[in-house]
Amino acid sequence: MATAAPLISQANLSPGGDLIAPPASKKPVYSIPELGLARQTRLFYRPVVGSPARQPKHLLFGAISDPKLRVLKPIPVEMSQRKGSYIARFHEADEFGAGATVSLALEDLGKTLSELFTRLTEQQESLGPDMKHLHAVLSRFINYRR
Amino acid sequence: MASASVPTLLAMLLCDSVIQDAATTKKSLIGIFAQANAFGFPTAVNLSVFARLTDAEGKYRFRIDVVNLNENKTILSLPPTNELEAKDQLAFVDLVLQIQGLPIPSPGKYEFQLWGNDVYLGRTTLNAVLIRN
Repeated sequence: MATAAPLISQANLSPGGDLIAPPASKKPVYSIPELGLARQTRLFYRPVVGSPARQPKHLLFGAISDPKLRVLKPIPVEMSQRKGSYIARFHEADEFGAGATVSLALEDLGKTLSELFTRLTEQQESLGPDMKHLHAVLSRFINYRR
Repeated sequence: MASASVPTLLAMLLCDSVIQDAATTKKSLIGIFAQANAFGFPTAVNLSVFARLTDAEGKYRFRIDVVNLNENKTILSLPPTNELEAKDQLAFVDLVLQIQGLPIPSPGKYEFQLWGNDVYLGRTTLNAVLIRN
């Protein structure tokens, strides 16, 4: 006996909704539940009063966007600014990414590293000593997902 | 904590609230948005941050930095709270932070950066807009 075909309603792409900002809360608070389930802690925080903090100069990066790859250990990155752009530099591999914000520079670096790692891995047999060294450096930080 | 693997951020969304069904632990995101409209600034918003991660195994302290992209400066750093443990690297883990009274000093773009054990994992943005009556 034939079973009924699954019913799929028409896909609908619509603009995202907006939030109307409510009146300010007197006691800023945030809470964070356990990963997965259970307890929830409520914590009060104080907004930064005075001058906001600059973005960090040295940070650890772990956001490779290529779904085939994963970050094995955090990548140390040095941030700098040049002509209004942010530069994220991974010194050990002598690679960098650039962008209008810190996050865009980091994402550019992540893309550069993933493309480089993929290409070096594909051509592993024919690499010269410098490229072999670079591949070895990258392999300590990123690798294929298993 | 040093041996914890680096999680991969799969999704990060801002919404009004996240409701978790007690029986199934399934989560529902209510009122997803990317823009906050206000009649005046400074203002404050109440919101929830939902993040789905994978590749997490070990103990983590997560924090959210809110960055004003007009000035590229961190206006708020929600301090890392309790240590959270993920046990299966292949599983998905959901992180929900409820923030009340988040100050938004001026119109413009704001970024919510997610950090796990002080490692940058990803971000989402909020556009704050001044609207007239």
